[in-house]
Amino acid sequence: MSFNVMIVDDSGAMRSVIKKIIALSGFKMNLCMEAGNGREALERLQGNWVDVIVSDINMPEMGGLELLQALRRDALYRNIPVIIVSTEGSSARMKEARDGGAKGFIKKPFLPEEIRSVLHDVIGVGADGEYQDDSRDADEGDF
Amino acid sequence: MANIKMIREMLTRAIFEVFEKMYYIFFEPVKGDGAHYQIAATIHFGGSAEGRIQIFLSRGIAEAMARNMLNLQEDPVDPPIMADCVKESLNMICGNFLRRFDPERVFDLTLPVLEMIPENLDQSAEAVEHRMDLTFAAEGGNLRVVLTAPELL
Repeated sequence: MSFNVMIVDDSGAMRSVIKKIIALSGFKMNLCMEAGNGREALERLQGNWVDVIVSDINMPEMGGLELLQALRRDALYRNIPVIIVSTEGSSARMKEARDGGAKGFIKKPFLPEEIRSVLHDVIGVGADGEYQDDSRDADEGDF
Repeated sequence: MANIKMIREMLTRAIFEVFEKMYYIFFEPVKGDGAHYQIAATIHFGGSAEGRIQIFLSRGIAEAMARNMLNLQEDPVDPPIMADCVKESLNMICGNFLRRFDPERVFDLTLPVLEMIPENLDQSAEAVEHRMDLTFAAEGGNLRVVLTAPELL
């Protein structure tokens, strides 16, 4: 089973790093879309399905938390799991992200295994890149 | 208010963590040596404390950051890619430092702004109140980090 991923970050370098980590982790990526901010992400979603969104918070035009809100308002997209990857890792910000519907939170800077671990927890992908039947919603441990 | 030594430690640890994890560059603290830097970037923060962090670095370090982060080969690094890596590093340094300073509070960060430094610009460090000026060395060049925060320093 392969997955469609969207990576949202105003840093092209960061998007490349996250994409590479996901690809090298054994995660079977069918399509990887990229966007430089939340508004671009919403535009790219039109007519495309993604299985998970990995998004920064602090971006021009539309940040990650606003993107979360926009996704939750749309019946078509509200169930897409969103993982936040951000420098802003205060407990208050993490709570804000969780309350907004984010399923995982990774603080920058990160090690590759941190991305893999959260992906595994959020969408139930195992070390072999295959979907696991015991996937679960994120709990406190994912934050 | 955290004392100066603690703030220096927090900022230093933030710098080490960002550069080691994301760019595989290992710095050591050194005394400012009046080196001329080619690139500067600035970020402002606000919230329970306000201030700014500036970084100054050599082109060699900036290129090494891009090559290591993106696993680029020996070709010249495109300036936009280099600029992106430098700005993102400052974003992470600031966020990491503020998390250490106050893990509970939300801080607002501006988007980092980068500029190239003219060759003839006097870069000698000024003794300015409420400012912390740190210099680090690694293979490839130096990094200078200046924290200006009246409420913290």
